[in-house]
Amino acid sequence: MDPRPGLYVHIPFCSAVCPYCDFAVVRSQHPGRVSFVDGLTREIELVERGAHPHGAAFAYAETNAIGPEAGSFSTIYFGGGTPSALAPEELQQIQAAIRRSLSIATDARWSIEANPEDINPEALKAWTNLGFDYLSLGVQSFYDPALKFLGRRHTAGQARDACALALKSDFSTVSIDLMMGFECLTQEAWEGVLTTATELGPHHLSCYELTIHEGTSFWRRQQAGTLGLIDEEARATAFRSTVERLSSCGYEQYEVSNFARREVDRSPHNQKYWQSIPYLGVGPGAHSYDGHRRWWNHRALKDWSAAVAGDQSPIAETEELTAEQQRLEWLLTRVRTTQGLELAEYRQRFGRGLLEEYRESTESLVARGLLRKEAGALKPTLEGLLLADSIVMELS
Amino acid sequence: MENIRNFCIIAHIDHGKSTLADRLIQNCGAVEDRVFRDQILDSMDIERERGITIKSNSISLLYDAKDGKRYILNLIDTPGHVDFSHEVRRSLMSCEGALLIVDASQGVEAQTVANLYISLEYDLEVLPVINKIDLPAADVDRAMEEIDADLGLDPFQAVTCSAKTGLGVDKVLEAIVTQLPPPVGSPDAPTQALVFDAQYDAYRGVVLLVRVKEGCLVTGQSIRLMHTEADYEIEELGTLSLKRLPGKELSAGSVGYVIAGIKNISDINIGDTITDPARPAAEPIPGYREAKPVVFSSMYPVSSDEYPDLSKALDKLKLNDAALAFEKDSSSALGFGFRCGFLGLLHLDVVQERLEREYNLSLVLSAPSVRYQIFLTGGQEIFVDNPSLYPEPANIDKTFEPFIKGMVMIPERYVGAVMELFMERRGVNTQFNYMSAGRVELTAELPLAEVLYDFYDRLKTVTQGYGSFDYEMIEMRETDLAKVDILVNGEPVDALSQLVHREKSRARALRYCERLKNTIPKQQFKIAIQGAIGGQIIARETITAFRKDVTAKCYGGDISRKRKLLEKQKAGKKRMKMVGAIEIPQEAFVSVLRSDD
Repeated sequence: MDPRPGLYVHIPFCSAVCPYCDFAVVRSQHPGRVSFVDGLTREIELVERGAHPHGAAFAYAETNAIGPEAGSFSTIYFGGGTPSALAPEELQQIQAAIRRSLSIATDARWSIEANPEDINPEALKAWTNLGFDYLSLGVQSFYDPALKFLGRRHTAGQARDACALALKSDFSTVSIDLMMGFECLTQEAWEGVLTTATELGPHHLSCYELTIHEGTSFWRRQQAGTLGLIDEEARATAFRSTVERLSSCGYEQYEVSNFARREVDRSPHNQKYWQSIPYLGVGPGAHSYDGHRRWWNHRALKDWSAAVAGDQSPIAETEELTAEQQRLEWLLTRVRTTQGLELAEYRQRFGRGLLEEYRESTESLVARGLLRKEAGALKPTLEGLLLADSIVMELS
Repeated sequence: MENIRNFCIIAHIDHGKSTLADRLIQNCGAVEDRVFRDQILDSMDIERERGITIKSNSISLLYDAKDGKRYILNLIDTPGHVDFSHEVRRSLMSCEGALLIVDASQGVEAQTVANLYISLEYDLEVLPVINKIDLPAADVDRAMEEIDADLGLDPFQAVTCSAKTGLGVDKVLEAIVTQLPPPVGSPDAPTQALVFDAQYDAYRGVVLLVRVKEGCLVTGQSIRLMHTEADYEIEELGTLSLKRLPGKELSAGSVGYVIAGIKNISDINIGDTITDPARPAAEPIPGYREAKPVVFSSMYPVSSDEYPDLSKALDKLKLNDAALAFEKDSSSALGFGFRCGFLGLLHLDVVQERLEREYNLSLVLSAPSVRYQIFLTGGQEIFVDNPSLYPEPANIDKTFEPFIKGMVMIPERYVGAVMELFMERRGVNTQFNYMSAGRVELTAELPLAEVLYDFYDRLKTVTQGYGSFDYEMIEMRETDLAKVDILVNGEPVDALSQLVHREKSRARALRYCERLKNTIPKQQFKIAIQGAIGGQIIARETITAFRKDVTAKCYGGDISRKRKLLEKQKAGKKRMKMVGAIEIPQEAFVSVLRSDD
C-alpha cells in the first residue's frame, strides 16, 4: 500500500450532460470555460501559499518535511466531466501549475478520463506525451440500445474503434467503463458486451451498475415510474455473471466494480479512496480527505470560479470525522475490496481488535459465508461483496 | 349576584365560536390589542393548529351595559367535539345561559341540534346568535326559519352579528345582560362549588376551575371534595382573566379558580363538589358522572429506553386530562407500553400528538379497539378491549359490541355514497332527514368498531370533504367476532392482533399483510407474512430475501454520502423492533395501523 497522497483534478465540461450523471458538470460551451484553467491554477496556488484552509497537509514544505518525497503526490487523476474535452495545451497548463506548486513524486502515475468520441491517434499521442499513462475510457457499452438509453453520443462501433486505438497507443494501462442494470440491456446482451470487452482485451475493466441519483433526469423518470430498471435478483445475476466471466478471462476482481489483469493495472488513484489514504481534490465539486476530515468545493462552476478568481477558498463544506465515523468509512471502503478488513491495520487505526469487539457478528458473517478469515484479514466472499452494506451495519 | 352572567358558547365546528369569543374579549377590553392573538382562549399549540378546543377555560369580562351598570360576564369556553362531551357537560353545568351560534350561510347543523339538547338538559337559557352575516352566502331569513323549525327557539330573540368584522358584537353583549339570567344561590348557604375543570401548574400544582353555586370560598379556608372525601386548605383563589387574578373570596354565582395544595389531578375528580367540612352541604351537585373511555389502544415507545419517559409523560398529561386512562401493558414485539383508554378517536389523536410533540417521544400504537362484552360458556361475563386478553373461542358463548348512532350532514348529492359507506360499515336503520333545501341528515346505527378504522377519511373522500360526522353511543349488540393474528415467519406479532367482525376478517388480514410486505425491508432471508384466525391462515404475502445491497461506485465524493446513508440506517435500526430474527421498522407498524390512502 502506497501511503502517499493522491491529487484529483475535476474538469467539469461535457459536450452533453448524461441523464444519470450527478457530477458537477456543465456544457463545454459554458462561458466559465475561458477562465477555468486560470481558476484551477489559482486554487492550486492557494495550497502552495498556505492560504488554503485545509491545504497544509498537502503543501510542499509539509509533505517533504517527513522525508524526501514521502508526502509527495503519487497519483494525479484528471476526471470529470470530460478531461478529453480540454485541448492538450490546456491540460499542459494545468499540469504545469501542479508541478510548479505541489510536490509530485518522480514515480507518480498520471491518469486521464476520456470519451470514445474524443479518441484519435493525435489525441492519444498528445496525452502520453504529457506524461499520462493510465487511460480510463467512458465506453459504457458495446450495445447500441444501451448507449441510446444512457444518452451517450457514441455508437458501439465507435466504442470498439476507440478501444482498439487506445490499446495500440503508449498508455501502459487502458481501462474501460461499462454499465449494467437496466431493462434494455438483457442478461444476454450484457454477456455480449462482456464478450466484446474481453476480446478487445483492455488491461482494466470497471463494471458499474446504473445508480440513480437524486436530481438527475433518470431520477425524475424513476419517480414517474417510466425508467426501465431491472429487479434486484436480475442485478445480482448480472453482477455474479460479470465476476465469473471476467475471472475466467484473466481479470481479477479487486473491488466491487473493478477488475484488473495485473496488479499494476489496478487504478492507482482510485485505490487511495478505498485505502483511506489522503487525497486533495481541485476544481468544482471536488472532494478531499486528509485522514481526519473531508471537505468539498462548491459544485456550481459559477460559485467555484468566483471564489478562486478572488483567491478565496472554494470550499463549500468541511466535516470533521469522529473516531466512529472514521471507523465506519474504513469498514465501508475496505469491505468493498478483496483485500478485505485487515485485522492488524484495524487494531493500529482504532486501537482495538475487530474480532474481539464484534465477536458474535464476525462469527455469524463467516458462518453465513459472507466473510472468510484469511491471512490476518476478514475478506468478503462474492456473496459478501453483494451484501457489503449489510456487513458494515452488522459491524457497527 | 344580579350583575353576574355565566355563559358559554356552543357551536358547530367552524361556525365561529373562537372568533366570537375573541371579539367579546376584545370589546370588553380584557386584553390589550398588543398582546391579543386569535383563538386567545386556546393555549395549547394543538388547539390553535387544529382550530379546536380541548380543555375548558374561563375568562371574566367587565362589561358596562346600557343600563349604566357594570356586569361581570364569565365566559366559559367549552370543547367543541363529541369526544369531549363530558367536559362540555361539566362546563355547561357552570353556566346559566348559552350562546348558540348558527352560521348564517350554513344554517343549523347536526351538532347544533345535539348541543341544544345538551344545553336544555342543564336548563340553560339559550340565546341564538346568527353569525357570519357578512358573508355573501349569508341567508339570515333561512337561518331564522331553521332556528324556529329545527331548534324550536324563538327566532326573533336571535341576535345577528359578524364576529369576523365585529359587526353586531355590541348587541350580543347587551343581549347577554338582558336575556340571560343571573345566577341564583345564597352566599350564606352551606358551600357547594362545582369543579368543572382543572389545570396543572408546575409550580402551584392543581388549579381547580370552579363555579360557586352556594355559599362562599375564602382564602385559608378548609375545603372538602365530596366525592373523593379529601380535605385541603385553600392557598389562593381568584378570578381568571387569561391570567390568574388572586382575590379574597368567591361567593355564590362566581366563577374562578382555587389552588389548594393538590399535587395530582388524579387525586381529584372533575365534576366533584367542594364544600366546607365544618358546615357541609347535604348533597353534592348532581350530574356528576365519570368520563368513560370507549376507544382503547396500546402505546409503545419506539425505543424501549423511552419507556420511563412515556410513563412520566402520560402522568403529566393525565394531570390535565382526567379522561385519559392508562395502565401498564407489554408486548413481546414492542416491549413495555401502556394500554390507554380514550373518549374517542380525536382524543386518541390529540394524546398521541401531544406525547410526540410536547414530550418528544416516538410511539407505536396498536390498532384502536372498542370494549367488547363477552359471555363465557360458564355464564361468566367479561369485558375485553385488548386482543391479547381475548378468550379461547371455544369458551365464548356470546359477544356484544357497542353500537353508536352516527349522524352525517351532507349536501343531497352525496346521499348514495354515504349510504353505501354505511352499508360497508355494517350500518343498519339508515334514515334521512331533509333539513333544508339541498341538505340532508343521514343517521344510521353502526358498530363503533367500524367507525374507528378509517371511517372519517372515507367519509371525507366520498363526500369530497362536505360531510360532517357526529355520533352518540346507543347500546351493546350481539356480534360475531374473530381475533386476527399477524404472523411474521410463523411468529405472532402480538401488537398487530386485532378483534374484527368475522365478515371483515379476511379483507383486513389481507390488507395488513400487504402493507407489511411493502414496509418491512427485504432481509437476508425470505419472510412469510401471514394473517390467521386461530390456526387457520387466511392471508399470506412473502418478502423475498435481498441479495444485493452494495452500491456500484465508491469514489472520492461517494464516501461521505455513503457513510451518511449508513449512519442514517444505523439510527433507523435503533427504531427497529425485533420479531424473532426479523427487524420490523416502526413505519411498518404505523403503516398497518394507519387508515387508507
